Order: sequence, then structure tokens, then C-alpha cells
Amino acid sequence: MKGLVRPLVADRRARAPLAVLAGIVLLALFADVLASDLPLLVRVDGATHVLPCLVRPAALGAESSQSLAARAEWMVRTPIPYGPNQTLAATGEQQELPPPWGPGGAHWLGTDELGRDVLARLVHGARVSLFIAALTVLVAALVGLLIGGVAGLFGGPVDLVLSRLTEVMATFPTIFFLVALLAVLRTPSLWPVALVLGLTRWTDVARLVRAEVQKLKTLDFVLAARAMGAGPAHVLLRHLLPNALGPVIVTATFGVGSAVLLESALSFLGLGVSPPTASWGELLSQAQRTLLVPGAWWLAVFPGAAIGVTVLAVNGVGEALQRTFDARS
Amino acid sequence: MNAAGRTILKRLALAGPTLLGITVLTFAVAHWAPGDPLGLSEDAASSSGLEAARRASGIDRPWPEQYLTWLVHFARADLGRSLVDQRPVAEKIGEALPRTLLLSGLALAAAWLLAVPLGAWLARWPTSRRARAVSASLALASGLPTFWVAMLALFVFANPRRLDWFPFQGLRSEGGGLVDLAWHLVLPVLVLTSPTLALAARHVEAAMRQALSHESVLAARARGIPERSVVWRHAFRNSLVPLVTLLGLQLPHLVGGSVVVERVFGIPGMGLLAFEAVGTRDYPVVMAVATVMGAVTLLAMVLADVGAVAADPRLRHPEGR
Repeated sequence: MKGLVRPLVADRRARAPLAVLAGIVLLALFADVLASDLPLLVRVDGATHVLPCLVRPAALGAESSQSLAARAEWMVRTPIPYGPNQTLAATGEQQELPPPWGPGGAHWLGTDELGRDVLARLVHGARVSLFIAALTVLVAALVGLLIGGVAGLFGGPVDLVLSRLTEVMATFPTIFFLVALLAVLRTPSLWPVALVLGLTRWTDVARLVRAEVQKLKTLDFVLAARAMGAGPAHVLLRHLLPNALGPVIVTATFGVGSAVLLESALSFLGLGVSPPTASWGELLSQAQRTLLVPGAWWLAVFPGAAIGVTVLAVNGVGEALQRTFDARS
Repeated sequence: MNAAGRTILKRLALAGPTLLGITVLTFAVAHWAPGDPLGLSEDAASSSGLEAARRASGIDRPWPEQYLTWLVHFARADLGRSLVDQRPVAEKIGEALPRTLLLSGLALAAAWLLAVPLGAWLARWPTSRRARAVSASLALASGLPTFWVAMLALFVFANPRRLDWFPFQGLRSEGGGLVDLAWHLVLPVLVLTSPTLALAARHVEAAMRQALSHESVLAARARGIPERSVVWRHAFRNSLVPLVTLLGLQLPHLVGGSVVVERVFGIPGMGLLAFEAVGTRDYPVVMAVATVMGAVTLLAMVLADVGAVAADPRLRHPEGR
């Protein structure tokens, strides 16, 4: 891994995408202290609460930054003083027209038709979208490594069957799987959506690993290991797969970008994580309802741009990794 | 018969079991979801009537029996009737397929017609400022969600409150002719073209860059062969194999369609048909769509192999290299 990080950081063209990606990951990790309905620090009714936005103390119950503002002795709000699911009823805001409100004023990127802050939802949606994308790719890479590795190592009938399985999965329309899954689960949460996405996307990795393993297993160091009595599992796990990992990492990195796009398309079709959980795709599918009639462009433009920036950054890192591996071989 | 011919025959022979596997998997997944088309509909009057309807359509039978029944009917070229609206499945596909073929065919053709010169140009002048701008916009085109681009295209170009240039939904207006159809196609085809174009152009660029760095290109230039001829007759000819493979991977989109684009533009093609069928548990339609898509995908793989052999004569004699 160390040998991978250094050339990546040294690669000038990788710096901007790496920085952007790191920024998005940090936003996702710290979503709860960046955008919350409760403040970072507050002194109210003679008690001081530290990070109520994380701890959610019972004493504050259904309070929010907005309702505390009048009674608190002092408080430090989160940078975005709104929670992702905090509607108009909870903030108690008044404007001449009903929401959706455009960008500006208290809501930097505007609100949706329930008065929820778009920026707060974007920051929290980053967590959901990135988590699903990362888990999807992890599952896909593990399944692909296993199936491709076994097919490549054993060859013969095992390879024939596993290669057909790979072909079937690559050809099978993903959408069928997901609609069926949604029907089984009714209200899908993060984990099952990511697992099922991963189970439909391992075929590229499997093909790649199979080809790599076929190439590697004829090399002398593998023969030496086998001559010393190493079993197939040892050869596969300790010798073949670690050496086939390079191209897998590149493919997996590009896979994160396409998983973010896939998640958004699924949410758009109503198949993603169930609302009100904010994911970027869910924000967009909601935007579709208000885009043309009140003309609320900000509900569509910002989440779409967030997806675009993320995918570009991930692909930039993927290209840099590819250059690293190309230069090495 | 030479080695390449044998490889292709072997692939064709293996396509059979793969297609069978696809139908089994589709059947299992479709039936795994709870509920059936009759139970989902609200107007199922009484439970006894429901049972009778289930028996009549055969969906009360055990799954293996249902699957075998489907397979026997399929072998007789009988796709059955939709369980939702009782229309023949072949008729429903016959309506949806031409729409998707038209839409995706135009997009695929447009994408490749643009991608080849664009990719070759990028490979030839990789560091110019203009090339960098083009590369960046191609990267952007492949990184944006298609349905989002489609939504914004409608918002800007088919919106009475902005630019009311294009029709909002569907493929035809009442009594419209060919011009009307073309008018309806502009936005969806453009939206579908951009990601394919971005992907294809990047592959053309990579393949051309490799081909241009070959010594034969240097030799051709040294002999004073015009640059245009060097690029197209020498380099491009040698970059075809990976491009044919990529095209083979994209051919299935011709019949699969794009659910999201069809949904945003209100075009009832194959993507929407599949999506709605699996949502309503319309098993015969689901099976037919998956089988058609699977068959076309497998055919495209074989075609890509044939194309690769046609593009690179060395592949005809793999042992004799």
C-alpha cells in the first residue's frame, strides 16, 4: 500500500482530484457537526451541553437551534444550522411565499418544498451516497477476486462453469434484481442496497482477475511455491491474488464513480434507500417534481453538480493509479 | 477451418447454456419478489375469484413446473400473454423495440461518428490547449448522471418559461409526420449520445495513441507518406481491435434502452417496459425482455469476436505468430 500512496501523491495531476475527494469524504464524515438542527455548544436553563448535535441529550428533546436561540445564554451553532430532515414546521421560519425558497439568505443553496435546507441535505447525502458506493465496490471486488481467482487457477470445467456464471451476471439486467429486492425489503436501508449493487457488479473484476491469474500461474515463483508443497488456497491467497491486485484497484476506483452514478439512477427510479434519508440520488428524484412547475432549479443543479464533481475526482484518482501501475510494469 | 473460426463456433455453442442460465436467473429473481400480478391489482374482487384467476393463468403451480412450461412455450416461439393487460407479449415488445432501436441506434451512430475523428485528433495533438478543453468536457460528459442531464435539458429547452424549442414528452404529436418525429428525437438522442461519445472517444484516443507510437508510423512518415494517410490508413487500421470490442459491449444498449432517459422523456421503450413489468410482476413480459436482451448481448459478444478477427488478420492464426 505504501508503494501505492507515494507515487500517487507525487503525481501532480492526481493532486487536485485527491484533494477534492478528500474534501468530500471529510464532509461526509463530519456531516453531523457541519449541518445539524442542534448547536455545537449551548448553555441553556443553567446547563451547558457539549456537542448536542452528536449526543442529542434528552434534556433538549425536540429543541432546535432556532427554538434555542431565544432562551439560550449563549450558543455556538453548526456552520449550517439546519438538520437534513428539519422541515419548515421545525424551523418555524416565515417568508412571503411558501417554500421551495431559492438560494440566498439563511439557506445558502435554498430549500425544498418542505423547507428543508438543500446544503444540509447535500452534506448528509454525501455520507449515504459515498457509503453505498464504497460498500458496493468492496463487495464487487471481493466476489470478483474470489470467482476470477478460482476460475483462473483451476481452469478446465471449473473455469467453464464460473465463466458462464460471470457471463450470465454481466448480461442480466441489474434493474430486475433491484426491483425484486425492493419488493422483498419494502423499506431498503443502506446495507442491502449496497450489497445487492455489489452482487451485480463483480463481473468486470472477475474477468480481469481470471486473465491475470492465468498469466501469473505459469510464472516460476508460483511453480516454486507449488513445488514446496503449497496448496491451491495458499497459492491463490498468498501468491496469485496479491500480484493481481494492481489492476483490480484501478478498476475498483473507477467502479466507485460508476456506483455513485448507479445509486443516483436507482434513487431516481424510486429504488434506492427509502426517504426521508437524504442521498444525492434521492435529492434529484425529489427535484424532478419541482423542477418545471415552480422552476426550483437549485434542487436539481446542486446535487447533480455534487455527483459530477465526485465522479470526476474519483476518475481522476483512478487515472493516476493507472499511470502508476503502467509505469511500474 | 482455422483456429479463429473454431473459437467463434465454440463461443456460439457456449452462448446456448448462458442464455438458459439467464432465463433461469430471471425466473428465480422475478418469482423471489413477493406478490403476483393478480394479487397486486386492487380490483381482485374476492379471494375465491383470485384463486380461480391464479389457477387459470397457471401461477399457482410449483416454480419448476412454471419454468418448464415457459421454456416449452418459448421453444415454440410462443412468448405468452401479459398477466396485467392480457395482450400478447410479442405485440408489446413489437411496440417498444422499434422506439428503443430508433433512439439508441441514432445515439450510438452519432457517438461513434464523432468519437473516431475526435479521439484521433486528441491522440495526434494531446497537449494543445484546445485538446485539453475537449478532454475535460468529455470527462465531464461521462461523470454526470444521464437522467440529470435529461432533466436539465427539458428544463432549459422544452420549458414554456425558458426556451420553448422542443416538445416536452413522447415521440410524436397528434398527426405529426417525420419532421415531428425528428423534432421529438433531438433532446433524447443528444442526452443519450454524450456519455457514449465520451467513453468511445477516450478509447479511440488510447488506441490511436498506441498505434501512432508504433515504429511503422515513424517509418511511414520517413517515407514521406502524407500525415492524413499515416493517421487513417496506417495508425487507425491498427487501433481497430479494442474499438470493435468496445462497440460489441455497447450493442446491447440498442435493444435494452435506458430506463431513466425513457422515463424522463416519456418514451415507452424497452427499458420502461422491463421496469414496469418487473414492478407489476408481469412474469411473461419480464422473461421475454430478459431473454431478448440476453440473446442480443451474447450475439454482440460473438460479433465482436468476428469483428476483431476481421480487423486484425493475425488473430486468424493465433498459433502461427
